[in-house]
Amino acid sequence: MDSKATETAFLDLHDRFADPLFRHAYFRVSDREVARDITQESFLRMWDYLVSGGEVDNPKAFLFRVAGNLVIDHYRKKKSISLEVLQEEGFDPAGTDAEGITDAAEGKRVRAHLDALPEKDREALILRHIEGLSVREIADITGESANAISVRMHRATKKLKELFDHGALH
Amino acid sequence: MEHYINQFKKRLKSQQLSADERASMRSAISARIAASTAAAPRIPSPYAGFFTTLLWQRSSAFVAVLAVLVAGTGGAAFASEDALPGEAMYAVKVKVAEPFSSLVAITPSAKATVATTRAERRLKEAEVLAARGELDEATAVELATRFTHSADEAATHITTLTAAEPDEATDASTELQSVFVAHGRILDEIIDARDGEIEGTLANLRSNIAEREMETVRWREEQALALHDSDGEEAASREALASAEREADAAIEDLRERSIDLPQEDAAALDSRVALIAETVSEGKARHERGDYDRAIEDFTRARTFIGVGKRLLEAKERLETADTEEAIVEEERPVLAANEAVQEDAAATMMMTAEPMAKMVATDTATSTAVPERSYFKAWAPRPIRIDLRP
Repeated sequence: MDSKATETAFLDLHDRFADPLFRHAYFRVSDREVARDITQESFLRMWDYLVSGGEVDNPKAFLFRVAGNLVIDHYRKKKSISLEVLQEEGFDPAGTDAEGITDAAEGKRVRAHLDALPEKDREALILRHIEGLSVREIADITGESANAISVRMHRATKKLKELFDHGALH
Repeated sequence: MEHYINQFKKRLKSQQLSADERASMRSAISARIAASTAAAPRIPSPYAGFFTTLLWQRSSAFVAVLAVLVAGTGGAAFASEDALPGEAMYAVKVKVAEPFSSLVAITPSAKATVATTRAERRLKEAEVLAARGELDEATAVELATRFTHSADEAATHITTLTAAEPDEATDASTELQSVFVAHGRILDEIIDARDGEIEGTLANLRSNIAEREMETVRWREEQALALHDSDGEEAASREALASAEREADAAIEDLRERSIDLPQEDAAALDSRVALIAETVSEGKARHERGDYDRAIEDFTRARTFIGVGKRLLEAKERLETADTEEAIVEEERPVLAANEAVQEDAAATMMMTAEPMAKMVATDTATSTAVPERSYFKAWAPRPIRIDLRP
């Protein structure tokens, strides 16, 4: 078997999707090391899945789905997923660890508003607006219908706008 | 709000892997690829030589095509999972995405899995189109031909696997049998529902599946006889049985949980079949404890086949009811959906919206989801009660 050709094809996928996947993981775990490990593990799991005979039609959706599961595993190991507890542990999305995610109160504010959204609504919003995935791709990742994702995004955007408007008054 | 979010997006977008991190990740992936290639058992294939040469002569061109598609379409080329014959993405699905899976399927077991999955996909495609009333004869012929090719390929890989890895061959055969049993039932239901409309190739395909199901059963019976004649490795059998018991218990639990969401009649049919599966598993456990390993393996294999069928019927219910729903969207509702999609795109650009489009979308969802009568894929699968007729 010409493993070189396979390797080239697979590494092409890595080159294309590593950064978006890393950003997505980083946004959700706020730890560069952990995000990097999750990114690498996602590619390795996809490879193992393919080698075991699994079929992947949409590598991007597959990788984001695996990364999402790994993020959940990560938080399960930490026994907590709430932002409050993370902040108590020292996580600061606008602090030094974020290395430029945001260095202003505005960034904190955006992050806090996003975190106020239900988990699934927030994920849909981030995948669409931060990662630029299509509604259909998000549906592939979350296992919901494209219509359900559209509704989620409408709802989340409206809620986010309300949070900003409300915040502006106080 | 837009200002904050745009700034936030800009800063987040600047986050990327360093060159060192990227190189390190590439090395780790290359190492995994090398390890899995080296670890693959070298079982001679009847197609060794000709087939592998042919495949890899094509692989360089394939990689080039893949690279162009990935680079040129922003990855959209891969969003072909649910594409159906007649749709633009279907060619990508069967000519790019699926061959990619073949390229990395190294072991005979993985090759059998790939071929089985592919055979099942052709059946699923035929089912969705037939359920919508959109399966023309030419497409049916194409799908039937592709199904036959993949099903033959799966059977060949299972045969190749038999001598070296009989347990893996049995697993692969169980999966293939589940595909035949489940999709035979589903096609029966569709053919009944479209009374008189479906004939010709699709009806022949149904017969083809039935014959293959019988072939798989015969193959497994021969295998079971061969196992009885051989002095099986007891320790290995015990280990495999312990694992099979755990898997069966978890799968039975899963089927029971999922039956809760079904309409009453379907739930009752599924529950009665699950009760039989549980009985078979209990019998297998008892045989295991008595040391009758070969018969215990047969029990678990039978249970796994039916668990596979149950999962597929549940999946079909969801998949084909979605197809029904799409079919049921009347033309006057389409502009509303299109308007909502346009609003969605607009919202994506501005992250601003009003409540009205969402309300319309929810209203449309409700309208389309209640318009379609439900089919049952479970009734025919439920065990038939045994009746003793005492009349003269």
